[in-house]
Amino acid sequence: MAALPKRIIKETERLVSDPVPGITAIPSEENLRYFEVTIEGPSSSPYAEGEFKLELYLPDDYPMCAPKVRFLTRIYHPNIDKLGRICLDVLKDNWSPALQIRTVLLSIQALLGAPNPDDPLANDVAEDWKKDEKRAIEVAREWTAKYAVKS
Amino acid sequence: MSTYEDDHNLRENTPPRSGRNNRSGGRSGQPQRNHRTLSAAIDSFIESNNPHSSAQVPSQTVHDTFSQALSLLATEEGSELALQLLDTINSEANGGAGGEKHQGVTDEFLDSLERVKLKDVPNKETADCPICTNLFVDNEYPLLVRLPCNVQHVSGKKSKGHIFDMECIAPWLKMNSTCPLCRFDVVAADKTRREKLEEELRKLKEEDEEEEEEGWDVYG
Repeated sequence: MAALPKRIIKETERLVSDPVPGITAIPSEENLRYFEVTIEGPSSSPYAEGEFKLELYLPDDYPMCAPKVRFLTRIYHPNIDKLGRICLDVLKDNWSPALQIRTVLLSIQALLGAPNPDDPLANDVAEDWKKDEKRAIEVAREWTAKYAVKS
Repeated sequence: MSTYEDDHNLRENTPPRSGRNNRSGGRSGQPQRNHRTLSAAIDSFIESNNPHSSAQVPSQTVHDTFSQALSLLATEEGSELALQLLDTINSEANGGAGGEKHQGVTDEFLDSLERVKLKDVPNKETADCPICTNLFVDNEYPLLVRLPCNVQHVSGKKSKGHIFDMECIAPWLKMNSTCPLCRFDVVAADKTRREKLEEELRKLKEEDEEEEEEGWDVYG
């Protein structure tokens, strides 16, 4: 395997020495491009009190390409499907090499606080969300209590 | 007993050269000629994508033959998929005109970027490249370039574009013509600049011609 780019080493060191509040990212021992991530749900959202596990992978052409990120914990959210795939512009067309692992994870945390049912990935959830937002938020809260329990 | 050909609605004479041909043409028993067009296109497409191939097909030709083959499929089957694919490759070939995708820049454009000396970088002791995050001062042989971001806001003064290592920004700009920090579209800016220059040149030319005519009035 090719040597790990200096930027990835620097990012990893900083994630450990100066972690983002409410977010952890730990590189796997076998593959330093693979991170086990946890994100705490924002306090003013139905995901509050929940701790969500994600996996993050830095492709070979990172940072020219966005990291690949996926939720492992089940979550009821209009922009996250049941496979954990995330619909977020900076992970797709709006990626920029000036963004970093920490900024991407912060964007995902912000997405939890600001669901966008008009740009859905999980269509059924988005429809529920638009039809009856109160009920949808209630379901999101139930799922958080059921699946996203802090370990 | 029915043969394989019967089952798959193939003509007896159609040589089942490969599974690919059978799949693409077999469903409605189209004339043999069409199978060949499609299979030739697919073959040339595969060949051009194979770096070890001796006969390189220019990508433009591949694009043309591939879209030809797809339109053939589309007209005969009315295939939704073929039409969709056709749309996709056309919009990709046109750089997704009207779409959100930004195409990359040319090597000439990269060469034309403003070079910046380390001593002219603001806060040069702490300034780093936003892409590799290394300090510019740590680089023994820095080759720094400034993108023309926000050029339109600058009045007379030097532009305050974002600075990157050439090595880092080049591969990005070749894929995407926006500044990684402010998403300023450098190609669009370059185009406007050129258009303005051409406009000015044309005006100057016209003025010249007018003067010439006046000159004739006076001296002629």
